[in-house]
Amino acid sequence: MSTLRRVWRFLGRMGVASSLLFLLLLFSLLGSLLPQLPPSIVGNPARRATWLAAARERWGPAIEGLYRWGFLTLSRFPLFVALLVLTALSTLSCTLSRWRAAWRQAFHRSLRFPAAHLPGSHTVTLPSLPAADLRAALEERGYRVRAASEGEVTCLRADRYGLSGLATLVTHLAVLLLVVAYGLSGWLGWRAEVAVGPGEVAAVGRGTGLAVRNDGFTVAHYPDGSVADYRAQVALLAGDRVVAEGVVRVNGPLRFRGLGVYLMGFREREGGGVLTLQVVHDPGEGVALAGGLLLLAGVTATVYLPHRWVIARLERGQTVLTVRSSGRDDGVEAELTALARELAGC
Amino acid sequence: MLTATYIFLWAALVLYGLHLLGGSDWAGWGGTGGAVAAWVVLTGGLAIRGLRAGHWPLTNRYEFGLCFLWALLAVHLLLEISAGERRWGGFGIGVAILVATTALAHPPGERAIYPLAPALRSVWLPIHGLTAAVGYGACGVGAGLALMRTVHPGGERGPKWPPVVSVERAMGRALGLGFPWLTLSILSGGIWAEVAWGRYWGWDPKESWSLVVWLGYLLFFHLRAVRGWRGRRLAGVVVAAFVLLYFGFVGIPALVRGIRLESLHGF
Repeated sequence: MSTLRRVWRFLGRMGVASSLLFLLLLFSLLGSLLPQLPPSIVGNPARRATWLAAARERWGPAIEGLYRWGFLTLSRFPLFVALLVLTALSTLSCTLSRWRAAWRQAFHRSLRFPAAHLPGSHTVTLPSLPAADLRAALEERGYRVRAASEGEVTCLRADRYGLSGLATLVTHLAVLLLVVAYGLSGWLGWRAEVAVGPGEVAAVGRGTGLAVRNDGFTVAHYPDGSVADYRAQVALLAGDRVVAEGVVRVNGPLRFRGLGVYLMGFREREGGGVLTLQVVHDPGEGVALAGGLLLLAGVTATVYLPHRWVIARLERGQTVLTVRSSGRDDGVEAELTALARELAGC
Repeated sequence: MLTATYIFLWAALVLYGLHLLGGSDWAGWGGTGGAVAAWVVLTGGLAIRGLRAGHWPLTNRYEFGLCFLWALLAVHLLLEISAGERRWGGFGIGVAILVATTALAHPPGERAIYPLAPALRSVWLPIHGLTAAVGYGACGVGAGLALMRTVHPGGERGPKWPPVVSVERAMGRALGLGFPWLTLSILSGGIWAEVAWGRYWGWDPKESWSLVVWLGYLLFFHLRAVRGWRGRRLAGVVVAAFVLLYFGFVGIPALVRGIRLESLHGF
């Protein structure tokens, strides 16, 4: 076996995946406990210097060393990025090694009665039963039933949530997508901060050829005088032409062809408020959303809809039922007991 | 409202304890009654608070603590009804008392009703807050059961303690309920952050810690399903994961204030 193949298999081992998860957990833990340079100012030397000076004053001179060693930008720390890449590779290796079995389990299920007791399965022997009664009882419980006969022996297989074995693959794919999204956002995304006074126009830059215009800013108040909302009327210009315009609020950006214009702050000046807007281009956004939704679907299906199957062997004098489930399904034994009780009463 | 809830919770704890140690049915029913009364009072109190404020009571740590407690009691009662078992009730209520004590510890200024800040005026506030509360609540119930499993005398012989297997099953069910909700809360938080700030992940201390908690519970599912962990060892992982979750709820905001970390989160 080549070294590359050995490394690939090693990465796909559950122990390696668990260790990587644990290391990611440690990194996240560190990232929570140490002050982190906000991503919006990482690329801005002047604002970075201001932030560091304030941080030094707040937390002491140790902050310099932490910054130099990359502890204040942990999301860009090489070891963290390497961990993410390794997690992605581990997930990929794990997925590729499992997909055949998961696919077979979902679409090509065996009708044979297991020759030996399988771990995690529960078996019960009942008096002889008509196949039709058993089929009806299983179908009533939401199982899809298939049957095959050989001589005097009938084998019956019933599956519920048969496709949920694929949920693990969906979850793994979601993790991959999230890592890809993180990479796309970090490498291809950008954010530009623009300060623009009332009636003024300021260029967005970044080769967009766009500019933003501040058409007015209002602050709404509650009856007690506290701030209810900030509303900025903003226009996005390409040359002299307005390509988009609207109200920008804290939870309401202005969107235009993959760009988002966000209200980040304002300061009072004679004649109106000077807006601080952030123009964001993030190609990882959609991928992250898709990854997040797939993750939710995968996790939910794994937890709530475990694939459970019953294999019955009906022969002269007895019926042997064995129930099994994918993963850890605590309801299997109870299901078998209830089924046996119901069939015994038939 | 919280004081009444608190009294009912302590009454439920004592009665559930008597039921477990003495085996008397009336005490078990009394424990359930106490938990139901606490939940009803809390539900009413939260509804009144929301109506008075004109917004969902999810805008600060105090309000979130109340919703966390509400969800914990709801999951506790649902699990009790579906399993028909009361002997583990005291452990779930113990965790509920911990959450209620934390909420009660907030000074009156933090418990007052305030108008909704501009940053919180979003449809994502109830979605993100409620999903987190349900996830936290279910994980709280799971932690109570895990705690019971760690101190369980073992075996199936003691007539007073519920069988180990049923405690483990209930623990798995509680966490199975909580984990997708935790996932949904992180996902909805990411969507909200994108709408508000133009980024779905910003390494805010609370965000990073939610990832820590999520990874902690993911580890539980992996260790159980793939490595076959069971018993006290697995229950220990659940307790540790809940310690992480609780630190995210109480410790991270304290750190944000104490060492002045920057965070956009109100709870």
